[in-house]
Amino acid sequence: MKKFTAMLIAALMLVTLFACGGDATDDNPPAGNVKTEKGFCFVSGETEIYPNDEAAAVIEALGEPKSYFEDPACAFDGVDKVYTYGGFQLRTYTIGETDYVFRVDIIDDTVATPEGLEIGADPAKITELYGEVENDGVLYKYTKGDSTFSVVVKDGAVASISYVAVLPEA
Amino acid sequence: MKKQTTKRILAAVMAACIWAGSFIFLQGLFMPKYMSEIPEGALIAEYYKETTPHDVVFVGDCEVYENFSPVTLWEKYGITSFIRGSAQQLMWQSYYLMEETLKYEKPKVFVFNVLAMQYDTPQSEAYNRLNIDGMRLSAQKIKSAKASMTEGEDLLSYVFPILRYHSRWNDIKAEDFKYIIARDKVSHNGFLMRADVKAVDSIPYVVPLADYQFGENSYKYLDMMTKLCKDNGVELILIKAPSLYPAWYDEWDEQMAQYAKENDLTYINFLSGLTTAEDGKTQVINFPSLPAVGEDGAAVSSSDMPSSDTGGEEQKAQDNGSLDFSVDTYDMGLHLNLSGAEKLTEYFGKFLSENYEFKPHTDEDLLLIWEEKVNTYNQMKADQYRELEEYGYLKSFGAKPPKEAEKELSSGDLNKSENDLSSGDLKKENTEISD
Repeated sequence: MKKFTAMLIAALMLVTLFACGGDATDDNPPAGNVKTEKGFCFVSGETEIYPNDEAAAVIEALGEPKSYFEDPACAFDGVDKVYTYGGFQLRTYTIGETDYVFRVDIIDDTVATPEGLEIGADPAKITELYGEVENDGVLYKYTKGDSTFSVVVKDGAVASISYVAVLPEA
Repeated sequence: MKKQTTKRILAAVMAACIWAGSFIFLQGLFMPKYMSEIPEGALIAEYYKETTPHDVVFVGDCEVYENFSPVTLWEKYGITSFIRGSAQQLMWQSYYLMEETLKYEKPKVFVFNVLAMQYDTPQSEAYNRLNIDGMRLSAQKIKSAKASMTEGEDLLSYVFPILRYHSRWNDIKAEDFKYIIARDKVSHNGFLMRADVKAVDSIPYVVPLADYQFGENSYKYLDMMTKLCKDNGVELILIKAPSLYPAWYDEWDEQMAQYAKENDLTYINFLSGLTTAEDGKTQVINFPSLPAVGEDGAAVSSSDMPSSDTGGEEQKAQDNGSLDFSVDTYDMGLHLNLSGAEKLTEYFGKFLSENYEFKPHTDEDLLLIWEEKVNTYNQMKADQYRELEEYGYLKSFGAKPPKEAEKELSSGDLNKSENDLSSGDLKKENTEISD
C-alpha cells in the first residue's frame, strides 16, 4: 500500500511538473492582420499600396513584375517574396496562408512618393514635405498607423525611401 | 524499527527512480527529433557522435553548413573537419560552441562566418532552439541560452526542454518513439547535402542602410572569440561565405577587413571575385588567388583590396576554380548546392593546406572512420543525383515536386510555419522582417 502511495505521489509530481511548465510564449499565431489606422501609402499608377495590406490584390493590380525572388527562411518553411517593378521593389510576408505587404522600397529616381519625394532629392525636401521629425541627418523616420516611412540621406542627397510595415504582434 | 526505516528509504529511492525514469522518457519523447523535417535542428547534437579529433572546426550559420564539405576537405587535402553550424547561429551561440568544442578537442583552426555580425541582439526563439537544444548540458549551454533568450523565454526550459515541448503531446508521431534513444545522422560532419539546382535569376535590390556600424555586442563576442583562440593557440579564420543574398555590404566588409588587420587574423570574403558572366546575366565568382598568411597569422582578402593584396592581376589570372550560380546553388544564390560546396571547399582547402601545417593522419582507426564517412557521403551523393535524374527533384530528401512547389507558391501555402512542424509549437519571427 505504501509502495502504491509512493508511486502515486511520484506520478502526481510528474503531472504537476508538466502542468506548471507553461509555454514559453503564446503559441497561437495571429489569425490575421487587423488594422487599426491606415499607415503610409505608396502609389504606383492607380494602385495604392499600404504596408500590412493583403498582397494578392496589390500584386494583381501591379501586373507582371520585372523580376521575382523568393527568400526562404533558413530551416523553416516561410518564404518572403520580393517583386521588382519599374522604380520600386515590394516585399511580402506571410501569416497563415495569406501574404501581406511588408515593405516597399523606391530603388531609383524614375518614381517618386505621392508627395513628390524621390531618390537624389535635396534632404531639405524631406521635412518640407513630411514635417519635422527627430533625425541624425542620415535617417528620417516617420510613424503612422501600422507603418513607418523612412528616408536615408547619403552624400547630401536622398539615397533610399522605404515604406515598412509595423508587424502585428505574433 | 530499523527494518522499517530501510524499507521506507528503499521505497523513496524506488519512487525517485521511477519519477526520474518517467521524466527522462517523456522528455525524450516530447523533444522534436528533426529527422524527417527540419534536419537543421539535428546538426548541433551530431558533433557528440564524433570519436576522432578534427584539424578544422567551422562555426556559424547556414552559410557554413550548406557551403563547405568536410568530406571533400578530407579527400582532397587529408584535413579532418567538422561544421558546428546551425540556422541563424548568432555570435554568442558560435562563441559558446567554440568554447565547448575546446572541452573536447583542440583543433588547429576555427573558421567563423561573419554574417552573424549584423545581429546585435537576440532574434527568435525558434532559431535559439535549433542552436541550443542540441547542446549537451554544460556551462556553455546555459550561458548560450542566457545570451540568446528573447522576451518571455525561460532559462529552465533550456535545461529541461520538456517544459517547453510538453504541449506536443497531441502531435507525437511514430518518429518520436523511433528516435527516442538515438537518432540517425542527417549530415556529413555537419554538412547538409543538397544536390538540386535552382539557378540565380535575379537578386533583389539592396536597400541602403542608415547605419552600417556593427553593434557593440557583436564586437564583444568577436573579441571573445579572438581571445579564446589566442589563449588556446588555435588559429581563427574569419570568412564571408559566397552567398549572394542576403546582402553583405561593402561597409560591413571593410569593418571585418579592418578588424582582421588589427587583430592579426585572416579574413576571406569569398564574394570578392563576384562578377557577371559574358552573357550579361549569370553571376559567377572567379576565385582570386588568396594572400599567404604572414608570420603574424594575418591575411586579408576583402572586396576593397582585390589586386595588390591578393597577389596582383597576374596571379588573378590563375585558374583557381569558380562558382557558377546557374548551376552551383539550390535556392537562387542563398546557399550553394553540392557541386558549389565541393568547388568552394577545394579552393579553401588549398589555402588551408598551403598556410597551416596539418599533420598527416596515419592512425588506422581514424583512416577507417573517414573511409566510412566517404562511402556514406558518396552513397548519398549518388542517391541524390539518381533521384534528380528519375524524378526531377529530391523525393526522399523532403523536397517537393517542382509543380507542387510552384502551386503552393501561387496559392500562398508556403508558410507552413514551425507551428505545424515537428518542432512543435515554436513561432517564427523572421528577422528579415524587421526594420
